[in-house]
Amino acid sequence: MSSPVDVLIIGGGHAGVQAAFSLRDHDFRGSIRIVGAEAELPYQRPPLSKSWLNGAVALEDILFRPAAVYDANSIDLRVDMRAEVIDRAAHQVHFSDRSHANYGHLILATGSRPRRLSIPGATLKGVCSLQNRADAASLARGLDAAHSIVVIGGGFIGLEVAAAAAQRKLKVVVLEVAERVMQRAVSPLTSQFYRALHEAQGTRILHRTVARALKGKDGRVEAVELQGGASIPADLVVIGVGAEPVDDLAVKAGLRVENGVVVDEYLATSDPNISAIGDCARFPAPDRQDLCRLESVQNASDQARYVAMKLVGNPKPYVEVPWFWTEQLGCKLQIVGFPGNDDEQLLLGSPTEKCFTVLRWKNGRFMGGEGVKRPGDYAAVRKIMASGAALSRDQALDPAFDLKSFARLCGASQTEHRGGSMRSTAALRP
Amino acid sequence: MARVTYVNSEGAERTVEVQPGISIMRAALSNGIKGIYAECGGEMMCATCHVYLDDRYLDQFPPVSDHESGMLDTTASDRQHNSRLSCGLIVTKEHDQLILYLPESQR
Repeated sequence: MSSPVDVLIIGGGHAGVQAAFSLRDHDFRGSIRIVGAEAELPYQRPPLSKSWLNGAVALEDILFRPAAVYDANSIDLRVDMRAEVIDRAAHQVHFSDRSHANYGHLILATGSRPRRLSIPGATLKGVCSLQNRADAASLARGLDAAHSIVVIGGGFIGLEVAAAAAQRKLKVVVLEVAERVMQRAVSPLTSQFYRALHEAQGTRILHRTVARALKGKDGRVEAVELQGGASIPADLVVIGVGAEPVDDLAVKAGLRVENGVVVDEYLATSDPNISAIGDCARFPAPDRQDLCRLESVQNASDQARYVAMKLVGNPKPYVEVPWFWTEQLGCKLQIVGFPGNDDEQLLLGSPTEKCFTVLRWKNGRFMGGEGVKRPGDYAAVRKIMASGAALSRDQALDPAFDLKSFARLCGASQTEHRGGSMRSTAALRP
Repeated sequence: MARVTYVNSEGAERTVEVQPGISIMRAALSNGIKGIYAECGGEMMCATCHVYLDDRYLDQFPPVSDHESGMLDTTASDRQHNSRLSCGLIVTKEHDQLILYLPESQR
């Protein structure tokens, strides 16, 4: 029962699963166990709020790997099992089924969960949030049956759900507290573009609007009452007001936690035998004064690779350019750089043609950009950011400036590695 | 059913049978073929399912879209004339045999 595990991973999301496979990729020979709270095999989450809601994919389409592949890699995957307590002195984790495991190294990859809305009526039937596959399945069923939906929160998840609902011809209202949608993640211009896109589908977006209560009958939601007293009918309410880190275990274990498990640049918590990666980790970002936490596939996967390298004796400080995406109403938005971190922008292309890029600067320093249907710009911005090259707004304003050519120059002078594997110039094979 | 052969960067081969409608990326994950990450889950957003498609089969798939082309500029291993993102390479019943070369790295 309690034979020691060399690397014990708590959490079966992108970070946890990638850490296990990255360890094997680096020929780690010790024992690896992943403990996941959900009852099913680990799966990819991004499709849940996108293609899943349109019925385009099934569970087998989003599994990371089938069970046999974990076995073949000697990764001991335990699902439907919750870690309850970490006993740091004994190097032991106790689980919900009363078993326990000793660990050599412990990786916390516990992810994040939707922030709850503490208003009256939030537990009525027909009120849902979106974290896992079960939520997505029940939301898809809810969309099938609903006529009118109110989405509370105009962030990525809220707008992706609103898009799926509008495509099913439901009556859709989005409530956003801020003065524009996706405010924390994108520039005003991009917010405006997506607002118009949704409104063209008949969706109403109410800014600076706060839900005061959810009203129902016989335990089922019927309306959303706003601050100010107005009421919007809804037979389905989706709450997408952000996420919070799942850091309870770390708190109980006495690790340093500040809105996420605090780690150093090597992803070690305040206990060197415990690392934290992905959505639950608050890490020091280069060029940022304070610690930061990101909820993204990129960050989860990259931190998983870095922690694996550390555990095979090849530690590197975590430095990666963040990237994100969302897809709404057929318009993919790709974002490079820390979100919302800019005070000046520059527009390339044309929002009216649904094809544009916004470049971003803060205090004169190039911070990345975001774009719709300009994948070439996206690739260029990623290259420039990864190279660390300086790009001023004046330079970019020059009529002779070409983003892709500039990126090529950056790429040519770039010698740095990414994710521990040297950039290769793989010879073309026959 | 197509016979799909994956050749890794060290030359080791594995051949698997793939049903029509399944992507080359998904078939690799399902069969435990290393060297394809597919971090975004097949949304063509991460460029970590990069493959080099054997020249003989280049015209057996739809051409590279603008979006795929942009993403191919972000691959970890160099883009070549036969680079594709395998999440977009869907096996059809017309396919009989396919050969793909895996890049040295995806990230």
